[in-house]
Amino acid sequence: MKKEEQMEELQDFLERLRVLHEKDREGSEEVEEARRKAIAILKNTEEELADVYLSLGEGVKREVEKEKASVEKEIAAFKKKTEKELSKKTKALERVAEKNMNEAVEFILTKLGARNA
Amino acid sequence: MHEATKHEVAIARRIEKNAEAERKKIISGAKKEGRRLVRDAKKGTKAERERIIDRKLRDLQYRKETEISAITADAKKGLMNVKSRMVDGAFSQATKELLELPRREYRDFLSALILRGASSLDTKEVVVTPYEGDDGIFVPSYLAGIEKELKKQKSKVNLKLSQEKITTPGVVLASGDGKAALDMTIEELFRDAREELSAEVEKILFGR
Repeated sequence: MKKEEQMEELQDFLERLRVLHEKDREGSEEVEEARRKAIAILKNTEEELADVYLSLGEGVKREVEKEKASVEKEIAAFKKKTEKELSKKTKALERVAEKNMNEAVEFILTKLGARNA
Repeated sequence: MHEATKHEVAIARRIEKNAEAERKKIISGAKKEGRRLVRDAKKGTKAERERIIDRKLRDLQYRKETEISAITADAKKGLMNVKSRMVDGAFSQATKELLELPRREYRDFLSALILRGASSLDTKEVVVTPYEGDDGIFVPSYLAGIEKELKKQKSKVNLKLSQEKITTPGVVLASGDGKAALDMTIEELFRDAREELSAEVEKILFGR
């Protein structure tokens, strides 16, 4: 083989090697790009997680506030009812006491010796 | 330039295939991991949410029970105050009526007081200190009459009228040697009666 032919063959071999190398580099870049995308996906997940935790806090707050309002309403209603009953019972007691006042006074005076002295 | 050999084409395809497989693996792995994290977080927060809500609801229930018992206790206290006020009213009315007794009845009341007090002092001489407003009652014959009653009860107590006077209605009795004294002022009698008779007065006022 002539020297020129040998040189041409060598150059051809190097070219084919360069093409394969280029393919390999492109493949590596695609993988690298995929990694970047994966990181972006996980970043989005972080935001999604933050939303999940935020909605937990808000959900709890909403539910507790609702229950708190209901309990406060119940207490206020009970207080109002009790006060009404107390007022009614007070008036009833005062009426009975006024009716029996003379008997009670006589009892005290008798016990003190002011009635049978 | 020569065309690529079959072998070179196969290598190039293998490189492309491997890169594609690796790319898919990375992306789907990230997506899968992301989904898993969110799913676990939702599951975890659901349990946490129930736990927090349960605790808060128990706190609210406790608060409700505490406030309801306080309201009930206040109401009971309110009724007790009404009763106590009415009992006080009965004692005030009795005091007023006692102080407004006709002269003769008031004098008999004082006699009964002195008789009772003198007997309980367990002494031979009892000094009687009268109220400054009862001067007209405490004449010598008055105490003599009481001494006569004491004798009927087999008591040999001598009564002596003090020259001093008290400023509130009633009497103060003291043993001759001054070692024992008995405060029988109306004020004191009612203070004792309030303690002793309240329960019975309450029964009379509000029904047995």
